[in-house]
Amino acid sequence: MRDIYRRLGLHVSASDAEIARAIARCENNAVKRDAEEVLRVESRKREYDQLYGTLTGIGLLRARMGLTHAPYWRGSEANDFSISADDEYARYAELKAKMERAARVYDNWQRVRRILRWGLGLLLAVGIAAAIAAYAWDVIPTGGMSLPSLESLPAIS
Amino acid sequence: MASSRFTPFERLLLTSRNEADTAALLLLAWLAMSDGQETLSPRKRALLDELTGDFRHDHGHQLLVDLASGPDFVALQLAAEVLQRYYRGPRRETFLRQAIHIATHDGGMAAGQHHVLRFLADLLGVMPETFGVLFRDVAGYPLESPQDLSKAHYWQSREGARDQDSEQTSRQGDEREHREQAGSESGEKARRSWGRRKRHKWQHGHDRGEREQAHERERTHDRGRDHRRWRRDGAGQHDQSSGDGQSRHGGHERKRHEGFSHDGMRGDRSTAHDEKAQRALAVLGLMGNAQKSEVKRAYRRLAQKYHPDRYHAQSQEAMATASLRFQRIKNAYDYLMRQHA
Repeated sequence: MRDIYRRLGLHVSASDAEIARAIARCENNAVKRDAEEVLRVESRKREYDQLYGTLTGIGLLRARMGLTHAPYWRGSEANDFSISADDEYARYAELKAKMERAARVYDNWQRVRRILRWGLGLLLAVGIAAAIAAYAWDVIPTGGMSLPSLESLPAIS
Repeated sequence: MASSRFTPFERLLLTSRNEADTAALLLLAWLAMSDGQETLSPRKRALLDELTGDFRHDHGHQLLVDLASGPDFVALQLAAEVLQRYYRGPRRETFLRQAIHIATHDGGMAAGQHHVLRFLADLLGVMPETFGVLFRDVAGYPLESPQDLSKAHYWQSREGARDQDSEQTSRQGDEREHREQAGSESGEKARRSWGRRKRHKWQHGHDRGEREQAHERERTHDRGRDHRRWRRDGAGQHDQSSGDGQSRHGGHERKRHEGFSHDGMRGDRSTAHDEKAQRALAVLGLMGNAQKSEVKRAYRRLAQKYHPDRYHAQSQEAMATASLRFQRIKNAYDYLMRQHA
């Protein structure tokens, strides 16, 4: 299947008026005739557009996966719907990289959590110690803790 | 690295019990949905469920169906990469069989399905010769080239044919309804008869060379008459064509037998029963009218060779493939035993 839109110099989302203008402008009679027949009839255009979407997607997938020269991709489909091959988009590698990053973040978080836990424990211990110290400081100098005198105790007979 | 968040499909893959099966399911759903209809019909969904019943993934289909209806090409690319990574050897054949079944079970394939199916074949590195044999085995007719929707005369011939055939198609429609009422087996038959017609079309095109598109109009016009002619002198032509197929795929013994099965199947073509029996015989690597003892011997031999326990030490994947293959052999054997009993 050929890409009529590209031959007319249009984008798929072109409006009916734009298509009509482009067809009128078109100089290639064969393209003109096909475009008239396919794009000016609503039901045909819908079906064509649907297949166009599928083929564009397949062209993209093939380019990304290095399948633009595979045996089942030839003729007008291959000519019109191939885009230049770029294997920088390896989705699986991307997923792996994401996973690796997530694992690293998780590990770091665990480390931080351990530090935080120890830190908190230490802080708590220091706090309790300080509280006890303060209490003791408070109580001892005022004499509240002084032992009762010998005289006040009942004598042992 | 575009975005650092996990997409829904990535999450699904990560939580799936078997990521290859999840990926395969997404691609099959995509294939089922590229038939030009907006939604997945309940019948297709049921078929998808049935075919993928032994997939080990532990999740529902809804997300995959949503992704495939988009279609979300980022997810599809990831699925394709996963499939390419995990599906090797005979597992590819099993997958392509499932794919062909899904694409052809309604009779004809939409142009989109043609392209998706070819993409899947290329993806798994299955050569056209092998894929052609596989297709004919599953669908019952040869793989044709897809229609060119960008040509004016495709539409003219299609609509012209519709006008001329309107009487005929309405009659066929009645017939089909009738058959659907009669039950699933009759549905199968209707599909086959359609397949026969397709087969015939292919041959006709083959004789004339590559100018299929240009002659589409007259061909559809002549279809009824030619069809009768074909039935009359069909046998000779078929011998020739399947002979071609054989010599081309001489290396693959099993496939050659499948080729034979079609040959025999077309030769007498009396009932769906015969056809099924021939198919079952082909699975066991036998020719037509084999004796019960031969069937038993072939079954024992194949069962020993392909029993899943033999693959126990290998990967889970190899084991799953082996059990699928074994199941096919066993089904064929059971069927033939029922016939003989």
